[in-house]
Amino acid sequence: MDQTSLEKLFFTIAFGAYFVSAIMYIIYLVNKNEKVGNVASLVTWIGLAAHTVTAALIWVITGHPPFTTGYEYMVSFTWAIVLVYLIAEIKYKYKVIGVFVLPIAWLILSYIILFVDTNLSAGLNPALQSNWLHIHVATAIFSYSCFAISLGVAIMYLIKESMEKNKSKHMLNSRLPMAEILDDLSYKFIAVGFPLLSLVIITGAIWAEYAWGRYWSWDPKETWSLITWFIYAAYLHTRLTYGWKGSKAAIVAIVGFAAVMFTLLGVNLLGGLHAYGNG
Amino acid sequence: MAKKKQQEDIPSTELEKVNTSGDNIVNKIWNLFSSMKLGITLLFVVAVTSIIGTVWTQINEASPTGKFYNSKFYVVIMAVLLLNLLVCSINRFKHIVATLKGPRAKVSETTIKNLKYNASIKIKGDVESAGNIVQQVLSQHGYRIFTAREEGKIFFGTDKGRLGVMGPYLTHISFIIIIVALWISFSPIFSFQGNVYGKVGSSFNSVQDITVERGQMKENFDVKVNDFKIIYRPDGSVDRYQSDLAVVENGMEAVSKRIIVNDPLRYKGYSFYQSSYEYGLTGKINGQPFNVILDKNTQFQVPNTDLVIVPNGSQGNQMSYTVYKAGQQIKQGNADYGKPVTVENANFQFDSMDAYTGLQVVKDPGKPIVFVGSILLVLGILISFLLINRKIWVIVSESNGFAYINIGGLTQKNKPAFEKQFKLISEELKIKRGESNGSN
Repeated sequence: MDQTSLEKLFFTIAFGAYFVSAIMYIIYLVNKNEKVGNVASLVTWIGLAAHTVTAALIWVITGHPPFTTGYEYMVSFTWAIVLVYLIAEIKYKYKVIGVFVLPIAWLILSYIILFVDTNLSAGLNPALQSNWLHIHVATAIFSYSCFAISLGVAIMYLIKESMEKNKSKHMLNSRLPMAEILDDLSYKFIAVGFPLLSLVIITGAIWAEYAWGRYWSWDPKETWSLITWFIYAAYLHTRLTYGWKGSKAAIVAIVGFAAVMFTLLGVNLLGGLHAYGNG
Repeated sequence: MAKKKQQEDIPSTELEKVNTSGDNIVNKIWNLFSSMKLGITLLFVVAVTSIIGTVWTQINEASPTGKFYNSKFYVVIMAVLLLNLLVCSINRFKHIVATLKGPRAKVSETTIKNLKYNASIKIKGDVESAGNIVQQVLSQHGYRIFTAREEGKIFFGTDKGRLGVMGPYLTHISFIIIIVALWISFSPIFSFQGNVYGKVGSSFNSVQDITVERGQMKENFDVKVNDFKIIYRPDGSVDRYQSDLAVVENGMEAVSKRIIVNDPLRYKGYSFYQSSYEYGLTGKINGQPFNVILDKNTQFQVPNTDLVIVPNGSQGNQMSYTVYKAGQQIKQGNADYGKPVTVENANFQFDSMDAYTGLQVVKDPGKPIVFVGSILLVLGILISFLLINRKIWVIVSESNGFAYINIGGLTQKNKPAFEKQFKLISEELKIKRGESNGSN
């Protein structure tokens, strides 16, 4: 079996595992059986292992980290989301969050299968041949993963809060962690994502300096990453000084992630230096 | 500043001896610019304006991207943000010094009771033994301790992670540094930006030949372009663009380098980046010389005829060409350089085809400044999140053979963790009572 077929095989294993674990997390949410929860985690770990092999094979085949084409980037980004989630699961032990995270991971992989060109090519556009680029993207996938999970938790917070308010008898109300805990978790992910986002912008600026001689060009993607930074900076300031917590903070976290998504996808509509994904 | 925080927790003025300002006009303006409210508003305003900017530059394609962000409107917003950060930093300076010096030991019992985390512990023993326990437990937890004695009571003011207050301060200062650096980078007074197409085999002069985009070239030297090459991969994609450059100043070769994208030549503060390339074609058509940049749309309309000559590409010392008449191809062939060719009424020759390397030339004194600012920024953010300032005050008093320990704690960040630690410390104070009773 050649490396490319192996890569496809492991990708499929990860895809299947995330599907199974997404279902298991949902079953766990409903029937409260800790054993089901443990199986869900185990299957997720298996999926992540296969996912890691996939990413490593892409690296071996192409000779560069899986950070450049749309396919490579989505594989890495999803990998980081699952990894960050599993670390958080070990640390905070709230498996219910998996109900929100695993389906998203599975959906991204589905999107890849349906819409993304998965052919690998070894050669990189000369501008992309830079170690700073690799560091830039590596920090980006982790930063954005933290923001993605903080978004998931913020949405859970809003659900929980409204259920608490209405004294809802829905089983979600009893299954979700306390609103205060969700609020704090959402903050914690942003507190990790924000320093990383600063590094994303800085390493990107260093790369731009090497490639184009300008560390800052007001390129749409650059500007949108800065906008994202401003939004999360506002989140932190309002939280620490005004004590904006709960739903206000959750809404800012959602707006922040909307900016992340626009930086990743919407900016392609605006063109600019980063429009490599289109070929 | 931050009135809400004070209401929720405790007047920091009471604990740290920070002066409050009066109410005259100057103070009011000062307070406006030092307010976090203005800062947060500005963050949102800058974010929204930047969004408008990214859309604006799309709609007005004629205006280069930089224009919007160099506009007075944007610059004014940035300047206000700068002022806000500056005033905030100056204002916070006293607070920082006070925090670094440490908390005041003597506070009132009411103050402690008003703290979010507080406890009253009654133990057997006298003030001295209870004081020793407090001292021991708090220093075990890494608190820096200040004490005072009055009316038979012992007062403890203690803190931990005091350098944490430097985090936000450093972050703000570094942000100021970065804004200043950006201003320098985009200012024509300090920085230079230009481009030049250098012909392979000849030199260009820094002052005469570079097309200026911003600023002024202040060094006079020549750059010799020894070679330009496009290296292809087996699959036909481009692996690299490379130019061999040599800087010649006063007849001496100062430095030479093979540059590629991502690896510029740097000389006297000016950097030369591989940014593009082109081919220049010279020749004559019916006696008229031409000198054009060759691209895939290059074609020559032969004057007073319906003939069009299209150069297809260079092969060795020949140029391949096609001639069209009224849109119909009538001849395809190869012409030796320097030798005339006649097709119907057209008499033409190609003389030479030269490679030009396209270089971006940049001098940016803002760069090292922004680099320092960036490092400080990351450092500041890390300190803000990792080093958390915690304060605990304790008053030990004695009555009727019992020692009373009133303990209260204050922190701004990661309150759940502090709550845990505070409970642990309170527990330890109770447990140690047994031990110290035994040893006494």
